[in-house]
Amino acid sequence: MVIEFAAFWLPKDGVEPREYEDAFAPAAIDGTPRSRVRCAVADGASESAYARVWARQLVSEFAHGGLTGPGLIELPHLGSRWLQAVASALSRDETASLYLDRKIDDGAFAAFLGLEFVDASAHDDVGSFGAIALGDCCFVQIRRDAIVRSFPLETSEQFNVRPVLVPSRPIESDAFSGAIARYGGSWHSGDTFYLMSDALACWFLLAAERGKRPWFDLDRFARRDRAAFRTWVHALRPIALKNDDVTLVRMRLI
Amino acid sequence: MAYFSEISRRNPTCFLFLVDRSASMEDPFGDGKKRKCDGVAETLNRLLYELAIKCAKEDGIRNYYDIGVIGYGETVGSAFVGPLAERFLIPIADVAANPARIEERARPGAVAGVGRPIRVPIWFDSVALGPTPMIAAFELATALLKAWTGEHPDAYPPTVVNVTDGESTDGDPSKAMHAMTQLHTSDGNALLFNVHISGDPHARPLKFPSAPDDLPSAHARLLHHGASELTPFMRATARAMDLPVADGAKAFVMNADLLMLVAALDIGTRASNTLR
Repeated sequence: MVIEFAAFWLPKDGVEPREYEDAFAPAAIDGTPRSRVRCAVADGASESAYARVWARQLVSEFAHGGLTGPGLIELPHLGSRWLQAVASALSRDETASLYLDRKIDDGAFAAFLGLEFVDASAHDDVGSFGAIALGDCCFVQIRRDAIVRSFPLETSEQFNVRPVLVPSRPIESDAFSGAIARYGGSWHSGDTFYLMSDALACWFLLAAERGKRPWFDLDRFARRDRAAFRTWVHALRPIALKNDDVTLVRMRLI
Repeated sequence: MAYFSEISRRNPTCFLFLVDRSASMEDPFGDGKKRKCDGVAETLNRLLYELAIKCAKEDGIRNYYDIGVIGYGETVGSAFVGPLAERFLIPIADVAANPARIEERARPGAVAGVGRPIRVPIWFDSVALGPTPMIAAFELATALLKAWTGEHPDAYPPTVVNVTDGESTDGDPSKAMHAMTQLHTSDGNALLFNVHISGDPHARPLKFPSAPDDLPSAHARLLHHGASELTPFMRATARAMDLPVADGAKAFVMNADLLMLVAALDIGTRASNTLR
């Protein structure tokens, strides 16, 4: 398979670009034919410290082949790496450390979505894919101008619930393992997958519920046209898009 | 839609606590182990600590909240001691950076003398002296919030939590409460929580009633009447804490014990789902 890949991102209004706490990986995919491709999007929870570090570690691990087994067994190891990464940045100020140290004790949290596409068919124009998700980062699969599947959330109303997220601190609970969503499907040549963090995914599904075709809006941006994407998001925010970090990864499979 | 503004550093909200420091606060809570004034001071110190932790990010404490604590008893004024003494509405980063002192406490369940203690910041102490000048407290709150809402016209509205164990001694505070809750931003009116705490172990707590039907006294009805309705998000928060609240539930608790006080403060200070 060959993938046309484009990724766009923008921090919430009123903050510095370095405060963007979503993440995606890989950063780019060229047009070389491949038999297997992985891509992930994560959304670090605003109320965690160093959530961006955690989100980046999750997507990087997945893109490099990790986070596949049942119960995400690599998480304890990843959580230790997060702690190592943030320990060096800890404050030495006695008063300031009262707050940040406690927060780091609580760990970081992120919503996570990973997809793996496999060119498994003898026919060139059909393949399979698997998805794993925890939280409200979503993908929508479009084929011939219609939604085939959205995952893990299917309606805009579902975004109002506080989701279970991926924690950097190891936890063993049925609520956590029960919240891990998995999906397996097939892709056809020409299908487009839109991987989105929650604000954009919610807008997308709401627009679709109202009979619109939001994928047309997202297809307007050429691969490197980040300025146009930024302008579009800024215009949409006051009327229809929650002021949150925005991430879009668009993958057209051929 | 009211109570929907995002809370961000550009658009912070405000939490103002009014604390009864009258002589009767010397009496113990229902379990008899702790004086009411000590329980309230400890709870509010811990709440401020938790709010500061909530705002802590890798680049420092983010100013999502302005915080004030008014004590009313022998005097009416800021309850902060130490570097923040006599200040009123203070950005949370300044609150966090300026505790009066840091105390060390044993970790829960730790063997004495073993392991590192927990360090906790303290901003104010327990006081129990004099009458209950509730009107004066609300008038001071109104003056502070009038200025604050003027400076933050589009903010999530201020939340005021009044913690008291008795009746006002400077008159009926109904008008003063009403005047305060008429202050507003474009996102809604100021919210008032009235939390009545009790030392009577047999007193039946009333949690967030909608109607005043079961209230035992005129004083209780006055506090109920003056309190705001819980916002939909606060109702959802209460239900998530297994507190059954009806639509139209008032931000009012009667005969609260220490645990109920903690729960009410938690509901009152979880203004919205997400900080930006």
